[in-house]
Amino acid sequence: MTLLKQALLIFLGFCSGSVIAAGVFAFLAIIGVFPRLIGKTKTRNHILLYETAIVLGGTTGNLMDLFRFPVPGGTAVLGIFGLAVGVFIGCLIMSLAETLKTLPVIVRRIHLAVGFQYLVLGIALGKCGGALLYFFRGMGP
Amino acid sequence: MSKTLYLKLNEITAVQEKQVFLKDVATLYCDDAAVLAKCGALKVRTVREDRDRRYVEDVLDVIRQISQMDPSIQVTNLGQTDFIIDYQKPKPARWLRQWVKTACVSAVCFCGAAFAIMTFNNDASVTDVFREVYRMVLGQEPTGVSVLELSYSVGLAVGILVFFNHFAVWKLNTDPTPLEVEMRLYEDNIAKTLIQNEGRKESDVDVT
Repeated sequence: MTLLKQALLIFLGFCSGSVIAAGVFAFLAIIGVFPRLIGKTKTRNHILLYETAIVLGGTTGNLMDLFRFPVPGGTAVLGIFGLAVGVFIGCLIMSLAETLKTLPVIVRRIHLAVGFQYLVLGIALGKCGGALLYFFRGMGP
Repeated sequence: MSKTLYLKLNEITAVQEKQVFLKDVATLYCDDAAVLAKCGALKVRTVREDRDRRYVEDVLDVIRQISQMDPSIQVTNLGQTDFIIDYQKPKPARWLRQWVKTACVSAVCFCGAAFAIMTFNNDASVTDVFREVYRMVLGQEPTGVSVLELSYSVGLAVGILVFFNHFAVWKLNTDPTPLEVEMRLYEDNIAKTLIQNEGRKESDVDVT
C-alpha cells in the first residue's frame, strides 16, 4: 500500500513538473526577451545553443532551489549570475511593459514629440535607483 | 511580342556589395533567357553612404525601370510590394567578438531560466504544497527531500525538453523550435515596421 502511495506521489510530482515547465518556459519564450537579445547581437545561427542553455538553466535552477546543493566558484560566480539575472530581468520588465503598450499610450496621450530616448533613459535610471534603494535600505521582508 | 517576367521579391535582403542588382533581391522567371539575364542585371540601388543602413524600396520603381528598359516586358509581381535592402559594411569576421557575444547571451539565457524557475517555486510555495501533498497521501511528515521533489525535478526537465523540442543537436521532431518561431515573428515585425515608417515619412502627419 505504501509502495502504491509512493508511486502516486512520483506520478503527481512528474505531472506537476512537466506542466509547470510548459507554463513557465512558454512564458519566457513568448515574452520576447530572447528574440530581442538574439536580434541585437545578430547571433541567430546559435539559437539551438541558447535553447540548450535555457533547458540547462531551468533544470539546474530548480535543482538548486529544491535541494540546495553547494555551488563552487564563490564571489566570481555570484557576480556573473547577478549581472546576467539583472540583464534578464531588466529585459523582462521592459518586455512586460511593452506588451501592455504603456509607453506608446503615454507618448500618444501627452503628444510627446521629441526626447523619447530620455524617457527610456529615465526608466532605466529609475529602475537602477529603485533596485539599489530596495537592497540597501532593506525594503525586502 | 510581349514577354512576361515573373518577379518574386524577398521581403528583406542583406547585402554587402554597394551595387544591388535585381537578381540579388528577387527570384525571377521568364521564358526568354535573354530577358531574364537583362532584368536580373538591373541595378535596384547604389549604396552611397559608407555605413550600415536599411533602405526601403518599392516594387513600382522596379517595374518602372524595367519598362523604361524594354516596354514590351510584362511584369507580374508574385512577392512583396515593398522590400528592404539591408546594407552591411563588409567587415572581417571577428570570431572572438562573436563568441564573446554568444557566451554573454548564453549566460543570460542560463541564469535567466534558473532565476525564473526559482522565483516561480518561491512565489507558488512549491515546497509547502509538496509537504501538504505528502502528508495527504502518506499521512506523515516528509523527512528531508521527498520522492515528490525528485519526480518534480525529472518532470520539469522532461517538460522543458518537450517544449523546446530538442536538446543540443538531438531533436524530437522536425518542427522549428519555439525560439526559432519567435525569432521569425520578431524579424517579420521589424521588417513590417520599417516599411510602414518609410511610408509615414512622406505624409509627415501622425494620425492621432
